[in-house]
Amino acid sequence: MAELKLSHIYKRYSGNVVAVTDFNLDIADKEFIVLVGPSGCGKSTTLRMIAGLEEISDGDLIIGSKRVNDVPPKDRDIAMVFQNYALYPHMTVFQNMAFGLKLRHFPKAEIEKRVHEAAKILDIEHLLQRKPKALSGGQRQRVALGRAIVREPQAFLMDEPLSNLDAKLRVQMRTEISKLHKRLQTTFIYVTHDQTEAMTMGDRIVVMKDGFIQQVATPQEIYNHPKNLFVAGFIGSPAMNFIQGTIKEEGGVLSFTANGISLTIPEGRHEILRQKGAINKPVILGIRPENIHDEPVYAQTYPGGVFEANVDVVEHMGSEMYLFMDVSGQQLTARIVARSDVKVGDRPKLTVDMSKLHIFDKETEESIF
Amino acid sequence: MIHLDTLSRTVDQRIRFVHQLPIEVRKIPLAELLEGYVYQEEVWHAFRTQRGVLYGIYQEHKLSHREIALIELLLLDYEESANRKLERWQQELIDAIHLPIEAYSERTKIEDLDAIHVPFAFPIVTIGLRPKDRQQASHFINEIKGIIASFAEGFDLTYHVVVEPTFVVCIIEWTEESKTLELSAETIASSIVDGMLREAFLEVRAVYAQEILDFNALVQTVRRMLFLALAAEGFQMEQPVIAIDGLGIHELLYSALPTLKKQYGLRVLPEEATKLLGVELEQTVMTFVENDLNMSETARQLYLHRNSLLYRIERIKEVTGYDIRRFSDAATVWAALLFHREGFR
Ligand SMILES: Nc1ncnc2c1ncn2[C@@H]1O[C@H](COP(=O)(O)OP(=O)(O)OP(=O)(O)O)[C@@H](O)[C@H]1O
Ligand SMILES: [Mg+2]
Repeated sequence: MAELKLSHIYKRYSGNVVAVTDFNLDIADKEFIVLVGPSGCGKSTTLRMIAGLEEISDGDLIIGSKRVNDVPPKDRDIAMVFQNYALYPHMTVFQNMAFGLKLRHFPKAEIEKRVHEAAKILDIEHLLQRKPKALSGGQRQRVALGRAIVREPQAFLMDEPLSNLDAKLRVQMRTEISKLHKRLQTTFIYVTHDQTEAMTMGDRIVVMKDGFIQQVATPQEIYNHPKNLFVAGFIGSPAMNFIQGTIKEEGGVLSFTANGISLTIPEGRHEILRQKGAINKPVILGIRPENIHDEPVYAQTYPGGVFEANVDVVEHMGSEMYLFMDVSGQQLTARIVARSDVKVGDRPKLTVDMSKLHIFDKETEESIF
Repeated sequence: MIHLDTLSRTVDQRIRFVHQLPIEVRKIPLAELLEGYVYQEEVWHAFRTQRGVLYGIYQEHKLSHREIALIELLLLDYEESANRKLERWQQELIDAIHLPIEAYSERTKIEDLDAIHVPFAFPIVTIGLRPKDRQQASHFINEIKGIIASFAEGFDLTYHVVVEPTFVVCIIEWTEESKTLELSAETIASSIVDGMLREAFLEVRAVYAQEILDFNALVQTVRRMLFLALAAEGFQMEQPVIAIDGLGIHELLYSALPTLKKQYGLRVLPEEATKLLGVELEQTVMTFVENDLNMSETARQLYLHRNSLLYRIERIKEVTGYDIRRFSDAATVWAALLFHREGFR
């Protein structure tokens, strides 16, 4: 159990590749931190620097209260679970879990105790005498976790541990890992490119892009208040809609105007727009698909948020449906209740929930609100 | 100190010792060989020693029970001298590794082969192991021995290790018994690599070869394994476990002369081009080639929209003149990228 502090961490490779730039993060004891971002953004590199598999080019890595940049990986007291775990095929589950402890010459009684405790936590006590061949995919994954647990490390590092599992098992193991975290009361640092995994598992999420941290916050905060265009587009499925346009002022009324659409900005937002000098400037409006509605009650609440769109495709998803629409050449997606009778080719009146609106500066791509 | 020929002299040359059995005899379970198995009018006898199994052949009825017991007794003495011999065969392998590797050569020649006694019986399986990061060599040596020892115990197989600071060869006797364990050289290699990563946090690359039948083949295999490990390292290949014949075209590219690599690499991808395109170039081309030039699969793996991938491909074409949707262009750029990775060494 430990706090981790990453302070101005850089990773440079030969040939001018900077994989990680000025990474700053304080991880609390027992926290579940998720690093998420597109391929090549530096998630694995960051994790590998924490593990010690990769040298830190610059900056300080502190575990507990000790700077560990130069501490050999196996003395950092952390355990790592990898994407491709190979259980030792000729050993039983027990031997697999005991292997690392035996290697470190732990006394036999201690090994027995730790393996049984871990097996109990993972609910695989009845499998201890089996060989990996005779286990299901989920059971194997649990044994792989067990091998890390018996070491009783200060922190667990996991790099896409679920990406080789099929979709159903992945969802199941996601919950298992969250439960495991609660039971073990240890710091977890988890890497994934899957934003759903990040949103459902993390206490806090670190969104990365091109080696830079974009935002660090709770899943809710990230979802509701993305700091910039990238985070807004990366988190959420289907992705947030973006429309390019301008903020216009007419007789004290501010509106967002783009090709074929004009929305009145609520008064509560005027001040921040003025403060940021966004008026008469190109901006990008962001609205999540579930914040576009077709029920008339929304039109009454937000008369300034009504617009019309051509429906190109309708996808039924059970309790809800997705509308893929075109507003003067800009593609929009709406996620509405399935009761609606909107059909392909219709031009319905839709309403944007103006309290859920986002505006981004087009130039800096930073969020204005 | 009793050598095998001395041993043989003790019983009037009525027994000779071999390390290699004819295929037919190799199929016989060890238990039967320990009893003495008759093949082509000769008795093939296995003697269990501390270092493995040693095979002796004698004509039926020419050795008495007492003589066999005597040999078994003397073999214990032989064990003592085996250490010296161990150094000798180990030296042969180390010398082989140190021959220059322009390309591994079939010509590797070893004089006086018959005189070398090896402390294990053929056939064998070999696994060559090398740290991915050479700076970790000292950790590597310290850790790998422990890991291999723990595995050998688990596998219940005989193992021997030849040590070079950055290259360790693990030799496993491949008896009938080991075959029944449903193990393969590949699974053992993967397990060792995985064990090193998880237990020692060291990344290791392994090259494995199955069923080596004699010492000459062993020496050549060891040389080839090192060559492949170096090629995989130079080209920064991701796969940590490589079959002895599993590197395909990389092998040929790696043996090209450095001057040629440089000329080619810089002609196809001049510095301006690589600078302009940045990391996207390598990421796009490598993933595209790995996925057989399949756009959708590549886009999926890079978490890109198909159109963004298309844009990247067009941009590469604009800057380099190569359209990587064509096989020959893709291969050309891919090879140049490998040479860039390697730094034209
Ligand atoms: N040994 C290396 N030499 C040069 N560049 C490297 C090396 N290893 C990684 N990189 C680069 O560093 C960047 C970050 O890589 P990293 O593996 O951390 O990405 P990631 O976020 O884990 O991506 P993915 O989701 O694909 O696993 C990439 O651009 C990659 O090409
Ligand atoms: Mg990664």
